[in-house]
Amino acid sequence: MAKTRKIALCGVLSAIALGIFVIESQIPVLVPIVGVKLGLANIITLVAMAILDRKSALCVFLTRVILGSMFAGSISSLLYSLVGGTLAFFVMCILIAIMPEHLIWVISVLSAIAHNAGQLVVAIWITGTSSLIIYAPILLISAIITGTFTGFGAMYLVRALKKMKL
Amino acid sequence: MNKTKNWLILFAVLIVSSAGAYIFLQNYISGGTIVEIRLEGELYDTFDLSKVTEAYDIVIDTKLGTATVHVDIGSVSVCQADCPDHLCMKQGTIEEAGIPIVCLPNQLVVEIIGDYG
Repeated sequence: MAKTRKIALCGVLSAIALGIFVIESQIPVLVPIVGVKLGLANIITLVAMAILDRKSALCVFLTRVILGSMFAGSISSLLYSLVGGTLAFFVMCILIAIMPEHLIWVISVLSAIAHNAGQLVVAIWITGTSSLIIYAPILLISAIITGTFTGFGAMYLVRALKKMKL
Repeated sequence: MNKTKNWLILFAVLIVSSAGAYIFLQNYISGGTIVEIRLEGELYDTFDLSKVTEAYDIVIDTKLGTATVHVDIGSVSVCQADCPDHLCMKQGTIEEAGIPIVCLPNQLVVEIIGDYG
C-alpha cells in the first residue's frame, strides 16, 4: 500500500474512531456499574490493525484516546483509558498474527478482557480500595459480551474493506 | 484453537463461572456497619452506621467540585457529585458490605466493611 494512502486511511480511521467515541459517551449508561461500556471505538483500532499494520493502529488508538478524553470525557478518565487501552492493544498485537480472519471477534473479546482488567487494577490502585475486586466477575462478563459484539462489527468491517481493495 | 465452537464454549464457561463467583462473593461478604469514605486513596471519614439516629449529609470537596454523601438510618448513598457521568449517584444506596459505591472521576469510594465468613 502506498505511503500516502496509508496516512490518509490512518487519518480517516482516527476521525471515525473519535466520532464513535464521542457519540458513545453521549449514550446514557444502561447499567450503573463503573467500567461497563460498549467500547465501540475499539472496532476501529482492530480494523486498523487488520487492514493496515500495528504502527498505524497505534496511531489511531493514541489519537482517539488522547483527543477523545479531551472532547468527551475528562482528563481524569484518561489514565483508565490509557492503561486499559494499552493492555488491550498489546493483546491485539500478539493475536492479530496468529488468529485467522474468522476469529477476529475472539481477538476483540480477549482484548476487552485485558482492557477491563487493566482498568480494574488502576481503579484499585487509585482509590486504594482492594474490595473493588468484587467487580472482577462483572467486568469479565461485560468484556465477553461487549467484546463479542464489537468483535463481530470489526470482523464484518474488515471483510467489507478487504473486498473494496483499498 | 482455530475452531469458533471451542472459543464459544470457553467464553460461555467463563460467563457462567464468573456469575457463580459473583453470587458466591456477594453471599460471602455481608453484614457490617462500619462505613469508610475514601478520597483519592486516603481515608476521609469513617463512622458506625448502626449508631446513626437521624439522616445527614457529608459534603466532600473533591478535585472536580463537591460530592455529597447522604447518610440515612441504616443506609448510605451518594446523592450529589460533580462528575461527568454521575454513575456514583446511579449506584443507589448500600445497606451492607458487598459492592462499594465508586466515583472514579472524583476518586471517591463509599464502602461498608463487612464480616467475612
